[in-house]
Amino acid sequence: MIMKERVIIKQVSITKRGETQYFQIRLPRDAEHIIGIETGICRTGKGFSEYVHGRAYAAAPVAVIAAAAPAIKVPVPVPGPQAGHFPVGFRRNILIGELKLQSQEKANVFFSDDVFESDQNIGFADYSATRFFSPSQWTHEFKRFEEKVVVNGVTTLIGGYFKDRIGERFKTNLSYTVNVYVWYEVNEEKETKDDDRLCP
Amino acid sequence: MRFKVGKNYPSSDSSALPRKLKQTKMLKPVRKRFDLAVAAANATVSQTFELEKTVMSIKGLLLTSSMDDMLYFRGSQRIEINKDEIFPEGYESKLLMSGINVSPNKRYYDLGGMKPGSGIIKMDFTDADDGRTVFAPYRVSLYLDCIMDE
Repeated sequence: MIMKERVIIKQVSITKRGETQYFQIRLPRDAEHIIGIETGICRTGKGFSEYVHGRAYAAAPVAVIAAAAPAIKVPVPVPGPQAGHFPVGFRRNILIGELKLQSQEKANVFFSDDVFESDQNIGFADYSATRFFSPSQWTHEFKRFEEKVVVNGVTTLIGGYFKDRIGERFKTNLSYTVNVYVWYEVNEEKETKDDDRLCP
Repeated sequence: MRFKVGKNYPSSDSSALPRKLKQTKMLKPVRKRFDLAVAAANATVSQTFELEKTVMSIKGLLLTSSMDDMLYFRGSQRIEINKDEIFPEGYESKLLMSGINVSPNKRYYDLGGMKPGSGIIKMDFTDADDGRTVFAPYRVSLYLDCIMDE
């Protein structure tokens, strides 16, 4: 039996503080099992970085920049580690929202997760950081893997729920898109047989 | 027990080797790189690449860029190998990138040794602004870990 992995993407758009989105993901007919769930966040609003980074890092001179140029709307740069800074302090990851997925069949709610955008402690105990080079997601991130689940693929629809938490925390409307990746398995031999039956 | 040199396994004459041994292929791992240039912000760039006929299987896939932060924050793509959609439209590039914390031997996304078929690889790359980066033209490199017949 040759099984093949495939993925479908569902994009959920969030624009308001504390917004709750209910959505449905249509599973293809040939799906045998759901084998994994992955999530990703894409920012769509300009104000996002100002609020998140400006408030998450106490040392960031957001107020100074805002006072000096109130009319200019520019993303505030994330402060990198300073030279001589001892990189062993933990920083809390910023919770973006909560995701739940439900099958219409026996499995019911089979996935529930807190969605984070990135690992804030990627540079923990990394002494390679200098004034000109700081560990960041795109240089130091580990390989990403999906969260493994084993759910029967007989369900036609997967019900989904996403609740915004970051907007609530910063008391503002932040717009972003949540990508939900559903990995499923297809039986290739079965596919071929079906084709033969349709076109003898 | 002593090894007997019989009719089927003569030790000196290589021309008389059994058919199975003659057909043994010399396989060599190779890494292929294909580049795609992103010249405009918030646009989709499509490009088709072709593998050599001698490529027997594709073991893995990896994305890198001349400006990694651009690819990480702005990129998403659709990848098709031999008309078989491997990653659908909107699949974020960051999910196919590996940082320097990952061992070089483990950086590739595992494709499980898929057959290249026609060897045609199509990539539709989409750049989308997310407010964290200021656009500048950059290069996206698609690396393939292949097994080639020598």
